[in-house]
Amino acid sequence: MRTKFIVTNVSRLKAKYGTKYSRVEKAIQQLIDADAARAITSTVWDVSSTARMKEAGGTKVTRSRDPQQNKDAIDAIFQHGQPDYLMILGSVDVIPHQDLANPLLGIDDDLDEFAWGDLPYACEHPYSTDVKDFRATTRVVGRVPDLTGAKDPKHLVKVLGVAATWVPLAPKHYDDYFALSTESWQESTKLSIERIFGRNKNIHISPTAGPRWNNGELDPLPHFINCHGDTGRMMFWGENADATDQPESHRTTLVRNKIGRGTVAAVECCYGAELYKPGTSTSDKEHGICQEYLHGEAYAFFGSTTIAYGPANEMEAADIICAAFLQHVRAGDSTGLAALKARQDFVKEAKRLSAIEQKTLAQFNLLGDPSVHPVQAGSKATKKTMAKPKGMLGMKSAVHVAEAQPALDDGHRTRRAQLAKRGPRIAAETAAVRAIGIVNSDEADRARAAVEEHGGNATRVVAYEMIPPAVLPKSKAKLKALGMASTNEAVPAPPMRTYLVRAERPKTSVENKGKTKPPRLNTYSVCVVEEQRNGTMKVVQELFAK
Amino acid sequence: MRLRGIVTQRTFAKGSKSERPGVFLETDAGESFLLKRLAANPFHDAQLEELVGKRIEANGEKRAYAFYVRKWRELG
Repeated sequence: MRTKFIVTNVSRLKAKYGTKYSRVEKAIQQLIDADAARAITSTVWDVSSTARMKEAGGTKVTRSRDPQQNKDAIDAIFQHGQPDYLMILGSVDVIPHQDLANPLLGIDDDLDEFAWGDLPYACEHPYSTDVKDFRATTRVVGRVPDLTGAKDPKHLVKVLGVAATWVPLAPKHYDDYFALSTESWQESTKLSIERIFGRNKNIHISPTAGPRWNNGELDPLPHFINCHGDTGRMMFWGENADATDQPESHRTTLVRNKIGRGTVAAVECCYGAELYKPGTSTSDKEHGICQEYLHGEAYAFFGSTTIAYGPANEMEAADIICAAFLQHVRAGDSTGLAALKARQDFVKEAKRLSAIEQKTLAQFNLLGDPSVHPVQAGSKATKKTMAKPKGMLGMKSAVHVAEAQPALDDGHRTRRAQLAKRGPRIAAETAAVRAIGIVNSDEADRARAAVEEHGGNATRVVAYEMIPPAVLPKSKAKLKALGMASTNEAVPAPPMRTYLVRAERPKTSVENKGKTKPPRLNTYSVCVVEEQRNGTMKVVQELFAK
Repeated sequence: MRLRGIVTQRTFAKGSKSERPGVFLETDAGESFLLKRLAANPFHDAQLEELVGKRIEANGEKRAYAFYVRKWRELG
């Protein structure tokens, strides 16, 4: 049997829904019953209950919006039972996101104070606001949100119903995709789609695609969206090649009743997974696209809470973590495991987490029940292993009843144990950087000179200090436990300092298939400059070329 | 709430997916807010762009780094 802990704050849910809370209780019980039919033992843990928190060896949450209290409570619950899945039930006004400090605040006018997210709930490290402390992701976590500020639990009951009635589909159902990109970022989007699906045809480009979709256009179950987003808004926007026009490309009310059951979305847009309260003086009247997808019976929505990062022509940051998520879902992982692996892959691929990568790691979250397996695993399923959840009124039946549930006890404990080791091991191999602010003019000048030698016109210089890996085991036994032969294998000697230098470039036309496109508005890159052992400065990487 | 200040324009969130020419209100109190109008296109708002360089009194609501302006008047 697998185990799922459903963590929520019942006091908050009762405060939101009053007597209608009984409908939520009933929906939770239906989920628990459905999980039992799938050989998953699900248990509700109420962080506002003295008795339950005492049972977990923790302390109940008395200030529901306090990130530290919630982190401490969830850590206690997790350590009490070490569940296979941790499902946070409720939006940010039930269980808050963690308040990770934005490592880019004050740099290049990224004004997000926090990179809100559920990453710390997926890590063993105790409460902290420093993203660098959460490089070792080991827990399978997802959030099934209700609507922030809601008084009627209709939405929550619906998404719990989806969690109770999911059925995996054959891999072929996740072969076709719906991909939507701005024109300005289409080259990057092509790389992401190629990485996920092995081909990159039929990407919808805005302008002129969207926001009105014909019947059938949204039917493919994997969705990949690389557009603009904004806080408190119910739409995404495209952008033309020279970044002078940003038309609407996707809208909550225009995807309503058009999302296919079983859709799994990876969305790079800024604020794409922000769980804002609709209808306030600073937000649209309708909830965000992420909530509409879940209401439309999507199985998962993987997106960002805040301003996200990704280049126009290459794969970096949001591109990498979103692509990894969809790759793992398509390979048959649960959505929660796919999110865990995507985070681990992202840290592993980075090797040295820049401030942008730290924010990316912090801000991308899984919305949806983490135990859902959208794609059938390799093992052959039979009718005997097929989930038979109790009748859920109003759910789409579609083709799902014809599909079978994979066996769920196929060595998952061993694999989970390996993943639990993989997280700390990756953290052991990964350094991170910390902004150190103003540097003396000599340092800045030498960094600029290195960039100019590289061919760019250097402007702004930001200096960073390299923080060594969080976990650096010295004993042979600990190294062996992490699967490493020696510390030399684990940690390359880091340079003393790293500089990010903005390099402006002359506007250039783009040659593509014999046609010359107009020059792009933004023609710059960020060069990573490192001081070498011999004291010289060298450009070692070029990021975010636009 | 009501704020007074000079409207300026500079790049917002450079290098991010939200990069755009942002319209800011530099308040008399020394604070700086990205100006927005609810329901307007956040990337190009001609009405706000017309205010660049002018001193205004704006009514609206502050949320994080943004000021959602409902109405405004130019000051002499």
